[in-house]
Amino acid sequence: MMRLILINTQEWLRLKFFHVVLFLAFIYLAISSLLGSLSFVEQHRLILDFGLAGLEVTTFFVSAFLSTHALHRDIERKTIQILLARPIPRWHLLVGYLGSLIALNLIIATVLGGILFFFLEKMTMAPQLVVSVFFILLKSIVLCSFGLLTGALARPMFGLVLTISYWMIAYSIPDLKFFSEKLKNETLIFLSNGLDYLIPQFYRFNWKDFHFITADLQYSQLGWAFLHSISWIAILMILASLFFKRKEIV
Amino acid sequence: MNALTVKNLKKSFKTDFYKKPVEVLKNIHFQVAQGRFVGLIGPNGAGKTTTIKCLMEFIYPDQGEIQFFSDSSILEAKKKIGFLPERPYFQEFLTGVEFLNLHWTLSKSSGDFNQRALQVLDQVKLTHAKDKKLRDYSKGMLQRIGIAQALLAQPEFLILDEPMSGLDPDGRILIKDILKNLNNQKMTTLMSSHLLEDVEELCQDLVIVHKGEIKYCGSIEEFKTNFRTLEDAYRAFKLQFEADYNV
Repeated sequence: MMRLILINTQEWLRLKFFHVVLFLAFIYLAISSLLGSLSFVEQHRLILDFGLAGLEVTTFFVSAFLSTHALHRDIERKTIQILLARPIPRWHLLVGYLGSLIALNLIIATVLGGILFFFLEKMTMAPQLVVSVFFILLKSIVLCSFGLLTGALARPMFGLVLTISYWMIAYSIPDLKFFSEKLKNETLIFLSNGLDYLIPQFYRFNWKDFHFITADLQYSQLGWAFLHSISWIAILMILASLFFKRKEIV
Repeated sequence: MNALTVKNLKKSFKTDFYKKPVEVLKNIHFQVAQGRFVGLIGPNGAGKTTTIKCLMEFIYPDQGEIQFFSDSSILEAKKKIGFLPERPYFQEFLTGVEFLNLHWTLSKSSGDFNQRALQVLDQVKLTHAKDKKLRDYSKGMLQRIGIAQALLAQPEFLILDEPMSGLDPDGRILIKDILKNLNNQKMTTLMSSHLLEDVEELCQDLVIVHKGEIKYCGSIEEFKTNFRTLEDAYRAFKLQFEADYNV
């Protein structure tokens, strides 16, 4: 499995798409630093809010695009046939994709988080920044697992649309609940409550802005968010493995 | 003893949600005896590649039985199989040796990798290019490194899907020489091909597939009795079964 992770990571790192996204992220971080320097009082706030949002968007793009296309790319190129001709179960390939996407997001988080920290020049914020970056990374892994699941079920573009929708809903459930309660529509209330159980509650650990960085997070909150993400990753990967096991590689 | 036994294999594909499934394999049954070089031939769309995909469990047959050696599971059987698909893509940023090393690890082989890699590279005449990146390989060289990865784990059974398609004459001659050597070593091989002269030169047995059905399964010598070449025999055979089935 480690070899699969390594070979996929090497491939992703060579992708032009990855280079372009990373380049755009650098520009975004530079702009956030410039905006920060224009402000006198809210310098750190601007850098953090913009920088961490940029980091999350970068990992989102990389996770959504690559996870939904990973399987289909190898099927089209017939690389998967040579790999599956080896005595390895199919789920190993999925773990290989997931592992390489984790590695890629880890590289992005380390590089962009490091630059952000360099711009901040504030050592006291380091632990909070690490926590925020870590949970952005966890969210990206949940998204990768979902992308791999949709990749095993549908065509890449449809999978991508599903994955983007999944990410958006995972953040918008409180708004959906709010509107359905305001509309007093029982069906909508039921649907939004149902979605809350069917989709990861990303909104509960959206700790990428200044307010959370400066406030002390409780260990129980961190533990819950960690377990929540890990559980979702496990559920999605088991489902992806089950579907991929029966997928026909035509 | 048979290296492979295929019984009553059937496979249909749904081309569209609202359309009836198309029956690609209707009733495939054949055997590959150990130590024999078998050619799987037939026109485009006959079901050669679909049969191979069923054998490798890339797709699942609707009905039928596939048995490799006496292994009960395909994972166990895959330890003894070397496979090369038609025109695959290899990770072009790897060198020849790195590519083989990847497949050595995946095949969970034991023993000395370096020694084995040099052996197979020598077998496919690529020792000089072992440290070259695959992106710098010619099409023929890529096909040969593909054969090398299939041979790497010392398989007992080789499955090759159109190993000579898209190659120039020099490339074809080289691949043919490699396959002839394997044949001399009594390597059990199933090779699908469009090229009758290659099949005639390399194979001892023949399986003819047409529209998802087996039309012939037996030795080439027997098939071409009364004919000078395999092509002549195939031409006459095709005319006969087309008349029989009003194709």
